[in-house]
Amino acid sequence: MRTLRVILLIAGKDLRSEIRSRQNLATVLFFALVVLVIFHFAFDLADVSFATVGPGLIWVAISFAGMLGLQNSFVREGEREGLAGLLLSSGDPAAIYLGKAIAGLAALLVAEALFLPAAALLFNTDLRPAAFPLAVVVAVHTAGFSAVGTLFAAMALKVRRGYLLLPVLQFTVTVPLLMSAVKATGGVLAAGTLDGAGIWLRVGVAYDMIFVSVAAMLFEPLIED
Amino acid sequence: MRSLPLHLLLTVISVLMIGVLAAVFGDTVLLPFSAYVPTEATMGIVQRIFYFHVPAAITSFLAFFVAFVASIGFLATRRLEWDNVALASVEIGVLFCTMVIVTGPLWARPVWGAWWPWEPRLTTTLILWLLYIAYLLLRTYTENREQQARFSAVLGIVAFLDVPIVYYSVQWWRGVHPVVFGPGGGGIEPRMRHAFLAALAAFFLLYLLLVIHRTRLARMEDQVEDLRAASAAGAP
Repeated sequence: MRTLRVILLIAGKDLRSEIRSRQNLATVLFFALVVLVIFHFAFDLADVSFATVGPGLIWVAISFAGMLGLQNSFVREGEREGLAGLLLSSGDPAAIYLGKAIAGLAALLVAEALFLPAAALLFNTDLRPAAFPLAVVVAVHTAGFSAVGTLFAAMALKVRRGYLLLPVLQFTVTVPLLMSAVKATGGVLAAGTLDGAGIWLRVGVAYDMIFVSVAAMLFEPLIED
Repeated sequence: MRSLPLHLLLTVISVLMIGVLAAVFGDTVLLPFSAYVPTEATMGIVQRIFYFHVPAAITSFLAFFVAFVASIGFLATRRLEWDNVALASVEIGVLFCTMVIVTGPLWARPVWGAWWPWEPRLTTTLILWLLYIAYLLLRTYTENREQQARFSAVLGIVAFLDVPIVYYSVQWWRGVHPVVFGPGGGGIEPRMRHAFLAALAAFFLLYLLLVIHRTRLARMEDQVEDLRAASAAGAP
């Protein structure tokens, strides 16, 4: 019960500071859109069907931009020994981890809710017929992304030049998650229902369950100094 | 005389490796073993890469598993010896993994017609290779020995848990790898099996020898560091 309260308090704290500044959201959203524009000029997407490249583009943009957002959530704690403060006041590293990961997930979901319609517009496609299954697929895979990113962002905070280390770890460990996200997104967009995601939705959920539980256990050795 | 078993181990590996090399190079090397192992009917001489490729792959998976166990061992006991074993095992695992990634395309080009067909097991090995290079990279970023061991242990666990997910995802993504062993596998000629088992033993023992030496080296590095710190502390 107490653990749940700590988790919610920490997630609430992060989200409040997120809402107050909105700088993080603006940066993530802006960066995701810039990635799309870069892709457009790299591959001249006017000639390519959205069904073949769209899901991949969306997820590369989300991965790149999302990593920036997750990193920022820990930079904030690093500035005034915030992590030590959280640890002293709660004494529960797993709860701190879960709170941060939930806040990271919520912030990314808000960014995605704004980003996906913009992406649909830019690629002249209509995502609305598959809105619900798409939302499920996006939430499931963003959760895994936040779970791993929160763990590695804490690691990156503790070392010099951690901003270089985070992408190295994050993108390598989330390779299977990206595969699953792209396949599941393509599947639901083609079918219009959640069944279109097939096995990939289960891959996403399995990834979430494994990494949330393992990262919650491994968070303590990361922040103990 | 502590190193006598290691010398024996080295001798056994050398003998096995001569046999394996003869099997791999086949008709081009005039050794009894090369005549013993037949050349595959359709693929020809290039099939002999198999005796290097598959044992190297199996040994690298084993190496990463050992690193996983050693990482858990470190976090449970906080003894640096565990971290030394993990580091040694990852380094040797990456070495063997590199051999897999180099020999795979050499075989795939003549047989499948492409150097890198993004075939599931080769792709899994590539991702595995990247994961453990990231592990070695992480070790260069950390601030002190103790933090290095802790952070590496965390990644050693996370990376290994990623492996089965990568494996199955890549399988479901697309698949054309020849399955030689197990259900659906073609099986192999008995003399080829002998060559394969000799190669597997040679690679496994080589891994063992290298890990023992590398762990010992890592321990000595720690000792040198301790002595340096002690003498710096004792200096006026």
